[in-house]
Amino acid sequence: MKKVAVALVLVLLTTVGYAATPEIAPPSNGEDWMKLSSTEKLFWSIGYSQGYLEALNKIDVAAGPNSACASLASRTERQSSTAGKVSGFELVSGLEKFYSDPGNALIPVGSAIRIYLLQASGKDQTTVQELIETARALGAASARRQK
Amino acid sequence: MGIRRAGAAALGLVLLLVAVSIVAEDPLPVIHLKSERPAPDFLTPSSSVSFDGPAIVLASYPIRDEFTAPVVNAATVSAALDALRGAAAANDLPTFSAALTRAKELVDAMSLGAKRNAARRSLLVYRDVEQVWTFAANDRLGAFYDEESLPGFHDRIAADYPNYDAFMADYRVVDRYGRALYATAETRTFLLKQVRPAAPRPTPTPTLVARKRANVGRASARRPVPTPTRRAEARPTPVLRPADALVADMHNAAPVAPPVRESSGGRALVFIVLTLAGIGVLTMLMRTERVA
Repeated sequence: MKKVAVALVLVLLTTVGYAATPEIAPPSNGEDWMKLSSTEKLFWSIGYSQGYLEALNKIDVAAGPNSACASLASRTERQSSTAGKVSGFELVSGLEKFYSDPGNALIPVGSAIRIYLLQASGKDQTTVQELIETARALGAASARRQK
Repeated sequence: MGIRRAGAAALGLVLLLVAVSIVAEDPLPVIHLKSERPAPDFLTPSSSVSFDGPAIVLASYPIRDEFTAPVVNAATVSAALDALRGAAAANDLPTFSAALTRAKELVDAMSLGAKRNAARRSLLVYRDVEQVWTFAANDRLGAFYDEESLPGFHDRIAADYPNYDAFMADYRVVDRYGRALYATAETRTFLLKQVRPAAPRPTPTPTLVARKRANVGRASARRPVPTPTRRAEARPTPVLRPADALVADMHNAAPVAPPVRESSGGRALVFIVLTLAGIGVLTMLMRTERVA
């Protein structure tokens, strides 16, 4: 009986602690992005770039120095990384323009950043638009799943 | 003669070869854009494929259709202002610019008056919105502006809208060099809130003093006078101020009403009576002397 009571108290305490956690989630797609203020977007972009670079630099530690993952990171991921290529101001401005089209509202932020970087690097419009169409379909499917 | 015939035959042969090659050459396949695809024939089943002619369909997806600028055909000022509000709500800059151009045309054609002033006031705000919005849409760092990217814009907006700086305090970023940057999205939001529907103004009773003040003294007319009739009633005697002095001068220059005839007629009558009395007195004096 004592064990049951202790377990019940622990469960209640856990529930209370979980409920007290502030629920601030990072933006997942354009709908979330447009709810943020400009300063929030700016600081989020700076943090995103820094976190992305940190993750790239840690891949060889996590996956091994000569692994396929590390070579992929150095070859592909660094090309699409925002760190060192665009400033936080530029990234915010690019995402603002990208999400100003209501059709892009469901595209995940990560995909939007990649598409924006490709666009800014001079990729042909047809390819970029096909990527956008694909990202729209994936975003809509993801939104349907969440509902 | 033989050489001429040979030359003519050679020329004819060349022409014949050219004509044959033109006829025999396969024409290039017609290229159609997806947007130019002919409408499907609903009588034929959708599964049927036509092989009448070769056709290459290019996958062309313009990201932004900037070649077809939207046209706003609003007939009235209120319709144009509604179109402006709608375009701002829909985040549609091309339509917003087109609606602003149309609204300017309509407001310029309005007759002078309070309605025109109110519409022009709204257009001034919308013009500021368009400026910051166009910058945000076209500049590489358009999410924020500073003195370098939009020279004089912040000072002008802060002067025109007293609450702007207080509103933008949370959306102002200062870089490591001390350069202040202001968010364009929040600036646009702030400016759009400044546009209010024109409230019907109470029509002041036209009194003489109020009309003269409004017409003559521009500085005094610009001051907010909520109830000019009451002010005129509270101070019936004119106060000597520059505007009022000018009013007094104008009043003096105005054609003066002719003097009252009764007073001049009375004076003439008195003059005639006195003259007759004087003549009578003189006549009596002269008679008195003769008698003596």
